[in-house]
Amino acid sequence: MKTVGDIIFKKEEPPASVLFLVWVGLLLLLLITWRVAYIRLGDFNLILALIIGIAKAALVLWVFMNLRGSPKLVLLLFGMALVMAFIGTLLTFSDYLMRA
Amino acid sequence: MRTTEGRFRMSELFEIQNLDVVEEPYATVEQRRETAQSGMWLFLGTEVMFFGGLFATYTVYRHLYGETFRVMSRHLDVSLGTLNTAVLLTSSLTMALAVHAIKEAEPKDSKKTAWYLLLTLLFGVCFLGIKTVEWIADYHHGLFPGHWMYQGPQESTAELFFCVYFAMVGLHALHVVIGVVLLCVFVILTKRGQYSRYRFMPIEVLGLYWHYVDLVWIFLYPLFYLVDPI
Repeated sequence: MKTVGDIIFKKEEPPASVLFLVWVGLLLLLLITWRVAYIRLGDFNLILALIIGIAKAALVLWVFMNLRGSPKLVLLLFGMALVMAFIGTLLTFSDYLMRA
Repeated sequence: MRTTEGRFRMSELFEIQNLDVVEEPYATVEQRRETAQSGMWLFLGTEVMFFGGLFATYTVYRHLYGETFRVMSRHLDVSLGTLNTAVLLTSSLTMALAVHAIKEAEPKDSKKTAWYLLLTLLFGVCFLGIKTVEWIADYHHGLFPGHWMYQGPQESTAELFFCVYFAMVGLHALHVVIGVVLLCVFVILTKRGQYSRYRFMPIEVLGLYWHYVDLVWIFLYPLFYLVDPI
């Protein structure tokens, strides 16, 4: 018997194999982050670490937290929070970067 | 079943309800699910603001005291930090598997979900254990704000790095503790058969919280442990 759960929720749920795949990808990215940190690249070390961090975050958000199957309202809410955090950080820097 | 007067009893929290039946104020099941998800994401949004402020603080201090951060971060154990990150990432996997399992579980048949939740719980406790080991070592080396006995390079500004470190990593650890406590509750409730493919929103929402905790750590790890390791 088809239930409400079958109709609404099944189609957006990633199968367990995808979850394992994403986990392996996350561990690989962790390995890369760790090894690259020991290579002296100056300022670029931080940028690279953040880029890999954002890649890991994107994987967790998109698959584990199921943003891809979530209603658009959710994307709007979380996006709003990110924008607010960005604005706050920007305003904080507008102070500190202008100091002598 | 709701009492005829419509009053809420605490025991109602633990009764299995047929969630194909939609009550006021929801029009459809999708709307109710969307509400629960949106509510949790909104809360996670406030958490982004919370940690965002702390990350901004970190950035300002790292900009102002770059050499201090480079030198003092070498006092942190990179291998333990990396291990902790792997532990938390794996706990995210088991949490996602738990949510996946409950969406396929028949009522009274949620054993798999309970096991996955228990695994997540154990990984969470493992993370806290490794953290404790690190912090006890830091305390013994006199690197704890309030018990500061550091003498060496960057002595005048060194305590700042560890203030920021313990503030951010400590608050994150508090979030992990909260998650672990909630997981305990949910393991027990799931074992009792309270959740199934017809009633899984609480577990999905807890999953969102736990993944967020992992997300914060994903950024904390390179910013504190991988500043300039030797």
